[in-house]
Amino acid sequence: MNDSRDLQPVPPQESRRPKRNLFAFLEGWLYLLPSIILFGVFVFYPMFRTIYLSFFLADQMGPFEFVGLENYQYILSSDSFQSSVKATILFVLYTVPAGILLALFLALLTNEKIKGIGIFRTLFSSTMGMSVAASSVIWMFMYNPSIGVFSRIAEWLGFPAIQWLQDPDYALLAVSLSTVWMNAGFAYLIILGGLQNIDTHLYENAKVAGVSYLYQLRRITLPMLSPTLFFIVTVSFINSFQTFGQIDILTKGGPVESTNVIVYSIYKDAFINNDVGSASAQAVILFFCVLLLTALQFKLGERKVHYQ
Amino acid sequence: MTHVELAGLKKSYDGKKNVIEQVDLQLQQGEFFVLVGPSGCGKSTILRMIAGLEPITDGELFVNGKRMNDAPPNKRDLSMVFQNYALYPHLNVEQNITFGLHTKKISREEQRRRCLEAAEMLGLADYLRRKPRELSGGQRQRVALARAIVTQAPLCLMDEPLSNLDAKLRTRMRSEIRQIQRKLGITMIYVTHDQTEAMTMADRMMILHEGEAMQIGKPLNIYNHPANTFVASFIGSPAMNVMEADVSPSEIGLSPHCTLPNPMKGNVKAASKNVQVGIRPEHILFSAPEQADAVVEVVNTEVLGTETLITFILDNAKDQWIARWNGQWQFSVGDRIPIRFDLDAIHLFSKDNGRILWAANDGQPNQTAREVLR
Ligand SMILES: Nc1ncnc2c1ncn2[C@@H]1O[C@H](COP(=O)(O)OP(=O)(O)O)[C@@H](O)[C@H]1O
Ligand SMILES: [Mg+2]
Repeated sequence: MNDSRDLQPVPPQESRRPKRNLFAFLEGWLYLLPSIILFGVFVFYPMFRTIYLSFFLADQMGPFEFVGLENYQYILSSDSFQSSVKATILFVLYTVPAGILLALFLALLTNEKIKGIGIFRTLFSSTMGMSVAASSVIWMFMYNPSIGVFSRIAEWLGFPAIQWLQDPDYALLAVSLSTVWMNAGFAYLIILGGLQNIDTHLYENAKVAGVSYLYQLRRITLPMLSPTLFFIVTVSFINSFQTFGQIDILTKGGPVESTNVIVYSIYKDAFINNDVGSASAQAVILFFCVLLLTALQFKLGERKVHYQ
Repeated sequence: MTHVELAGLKKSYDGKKNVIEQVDLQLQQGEFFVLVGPSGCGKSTILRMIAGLEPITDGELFVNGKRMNDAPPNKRDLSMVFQNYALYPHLNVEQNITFGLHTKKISREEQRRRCLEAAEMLGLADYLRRKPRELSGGQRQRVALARAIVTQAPLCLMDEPLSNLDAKLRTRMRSEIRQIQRKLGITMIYVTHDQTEAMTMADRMMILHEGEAMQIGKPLNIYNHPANTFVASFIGSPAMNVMEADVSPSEIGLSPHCTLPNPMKGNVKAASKNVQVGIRPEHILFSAPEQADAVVEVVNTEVLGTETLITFILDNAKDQWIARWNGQWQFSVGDRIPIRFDLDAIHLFSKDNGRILWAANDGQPNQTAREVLR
């Protein structure tokens, strides 16, 4: 028997032919085409059209006179826009941290294996399934000075009734509160999902080591949750800047423009004051603000987020 | 001195079916004890009950003579290594190793000293600043080991710590773990599904099957004297040949053309029972044609270099036997070869309950065992 004949050298690899490259390139674009078309029609075209319009005096029929940066100059110097900016910033500060902390707290509470926990999970995430319009109407009734539950409680405790939605000092706060409630469901669900994704062995090891709950929260839960938190913070910021529905239903930007956030002011300029040029310019400003903020978040967040 | 004692331990997850049935066990101080069994038999469950991560349904757990059923995990003075290592991906190696030491009122300097010592012992000293994802599988496994070592707990639990490693590394870590355990003198409870690991590492081991202890003892004793067919075929690779046989008081008939003398002839009561014959692959020998017990047909040969595994059939094609011979044997499928059974190494099991009825080498280690022990 002579087995050594069977041992053959491995043939050298053939070199690749570059001809296929052009075809592969076109093929790649072909696969991308459907999403490019959809994005083009529904995102990119409206975006560039808005930027274009912001350099014109325009009404709902279209542009009629090129004015360069005049729209921007006018907006940036107007008192109304400044109060819009202030309202927007306050609104974001009221809703984003409170909403995320509330959702995080509820998610931590319900991330236990207890009988009947499903009921609470469903309850806490249920606001996600409610339309903004429906929830706004509910809150409108609750804020109603004569029949609303808030004034009943105030009355029962002996405090003076507050005109929640009519008082410029309280209107923004009231809208923010209802917004926190409306957004909590989504944030809660995302955070709960993030919590359940954490390897239980990490906690078991901590149990064997005997560290306290707070230490566990600080050294395991929050770091492991950081990608999820980062996602929900970013999305919440963007969401908050774009809030429209509840403001339209609850206060219509009033009283005394105290809830006239930028998005609502864009809407009013475009469809009520028929000044599409100014509305477009505001939209462009808002767009760049959100873009800048998100970019900043990614820059700062990157360092604090631990992807596995 | 008894370190850990399980007395009638039971576990049920759903309150109806017992996943663990009545486990009784006593572990000595400094013992390396292996829990081995196929996956799903309840090894992890037992380990987790000892660790306090899973409540004990019934029975009692004593550590150093103290009842520990309801003590929280950190009060049981033990360390644990998990199958997936459970390293914290956002902490570096040093932080991982010292995780939780502050709860034991250990100063920063002492923590650092212990960490360096353990890292030195496991060859991790150069990696203390790295994150787990920047380590290889073997290094991660060492970090998990180091984390158990620095607690200086007298009892260490390991749940399949090597099953995510490749075969070469597994062999090396096996001996490393064993050496560290000896050096530190800690008691070890080690869970594995791999009988080779159990055989090579254990001082004593328990074979578990569907939540029931099948046999407890020293690895070689178990190998040589399996208590039933499950243990016989679970321990040893390739597994012991266990085949049905026709038994008469004087003979065991393996096939129409192959009969062996019945070694139980003195014991008439047992001799007349339904019997299965068990013989390890290394006890089926190549034979000169005139001394052969049978001439068999080769179905497959696996040449491993130093030894050869020959799969053959007697008459019934469904019953495939395996023999293991030293050296390189090259047969073709269908070759007919003469073989002989080593009658001193035959086991007879009851066909009804699988329990051992008779073994030739009762009481003493046989030839092979003595060679290993020397
Ligand atoms: N948390 C649990 N809930 C219900 N059943 C479980 C749970 N953990 C394990 N089991 C069951 O208990 C049995 C033993 O599991 P386990 O101890 O993990 O086995 P092993 O570690 O030996 O593979 C299996 O049948 C498994 O399905
Ligand atoms: Mg297991």
